[in-house]
Amino acid sequence: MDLLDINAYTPDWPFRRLRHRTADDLLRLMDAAGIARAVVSPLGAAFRLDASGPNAELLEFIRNHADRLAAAFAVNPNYPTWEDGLREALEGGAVALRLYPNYHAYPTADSACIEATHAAAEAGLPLLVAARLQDERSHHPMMKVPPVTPGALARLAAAVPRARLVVTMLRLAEVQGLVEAPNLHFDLCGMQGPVGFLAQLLEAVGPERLLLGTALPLQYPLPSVEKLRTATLSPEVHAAIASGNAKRLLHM
Amino acid sequence: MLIDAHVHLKGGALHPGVVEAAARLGIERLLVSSLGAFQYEPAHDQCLQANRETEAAMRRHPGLVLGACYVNPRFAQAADEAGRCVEAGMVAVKLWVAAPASDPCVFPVVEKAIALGVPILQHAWHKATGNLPYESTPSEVAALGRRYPEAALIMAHIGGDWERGLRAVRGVRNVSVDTSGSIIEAGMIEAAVEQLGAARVIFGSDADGVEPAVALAKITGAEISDEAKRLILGDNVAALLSHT
Repeated sequence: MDLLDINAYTPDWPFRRLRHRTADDLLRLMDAAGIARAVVSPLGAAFRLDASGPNAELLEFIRNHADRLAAAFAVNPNYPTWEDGLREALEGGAVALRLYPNYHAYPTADSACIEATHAAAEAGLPLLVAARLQDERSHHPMMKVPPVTPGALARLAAAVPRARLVVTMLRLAEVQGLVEAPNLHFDLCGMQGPVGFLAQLLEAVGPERLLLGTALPLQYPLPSVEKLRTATLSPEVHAAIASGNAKRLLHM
Repeated sequence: MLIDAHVHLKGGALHPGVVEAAARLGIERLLVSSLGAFQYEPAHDQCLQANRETEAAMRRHPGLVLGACYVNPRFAQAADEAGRCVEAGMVAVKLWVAAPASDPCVFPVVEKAIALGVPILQHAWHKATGNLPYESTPSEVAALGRRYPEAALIMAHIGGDWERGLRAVRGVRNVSVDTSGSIIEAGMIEAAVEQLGAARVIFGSDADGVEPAVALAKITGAEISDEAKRLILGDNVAALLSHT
């Protein structure tokens, strides 16, 4: 099974010392899970309003591994000269843009967010939208960041119908509330159950809107791979979720 | 032998997907409890009904299902129910969120479990979102373990906030942790092995709330020795259950 992880991050997390802190660490975990390639977003950009520094760090992080690690540049549409990030993404060969609406404290209905989404669509770049980065029960008590709600995601999708949006770390019930937003796609990293959840997902949104994502190195990648590998699916559906949908959306 | 030490019935039955997953993944035993209708403070009768469901599951799935007796320790009859369940073939006691582990009402149940030689699977979590009114924290489980060094306590979910959970129970050698639940943060299993020793870490899923394949992959995907994996995936809980 050709596996492409749409949702990996640089190891820039302030709340605990991550065990896997280098590109080699990520690649080793990817190898163990059978993941050939990953799209890496700059995690530090969630905590720094100016995304330019984290984007530069991202390029450095993946520099020697272009064959396996691709960049998703972060953009904060509420920050001056955010458009430079889009230009740098295109110049730097990024395959997607990443948004952190909740960590950057703007509603998705914000005109700047919609403008950025239009710009991404115009440039041919899909947008990875982080609904959350961590289970809310595990948040730092002084930094409880609410997830991006299904309503907010639906409004963004409706505002820019031609945008290709991939929402990462949603829960099953949240995805089931977004059936009527065909330009919204979803990764699997936020759903560990219940038993049979992937069948419920497929019933709700179909196979073409689901992508393999792991949240590596925040989460173990193998569980998300196993969700897919152990499910009773046709080879075509397996292949679509494993990498086909991501390749189509990201032109990889 | 691969044993999933944390499985629940739902609607009085074992989810067929859990049975199928066990067969596919090579899980040979499931330590199962029923929490009834998942009421946080069940009446004693509701616990009795839940345990009847567990007994029925043991009969329906011989050789697969091991039963854990669920009680609300606020009821004086709880310890006796634990005794009845073990007499009927159950091998553990399950405590959920009806009373915190620090509450004296729990003590007779623990004393009974010690007398019966069965472990207690104690739910625990430390939530940034706020615990349920009587939901045990890892520190409370650690205190219970220190009060009863003869008790075999299994703190479920590594206490939810696993970094805090490991710190809380690190020095309490009669407290093991189970790995069940939806938290799959990278490094949690390695940290458990490093801080507690592989002998105190026990594989569990929390099925049917969590896919067994997901829970199993947390262990098989962890960067720990094959020996540690073997202990975690079955040997440790088998040793705790061998006293019945």
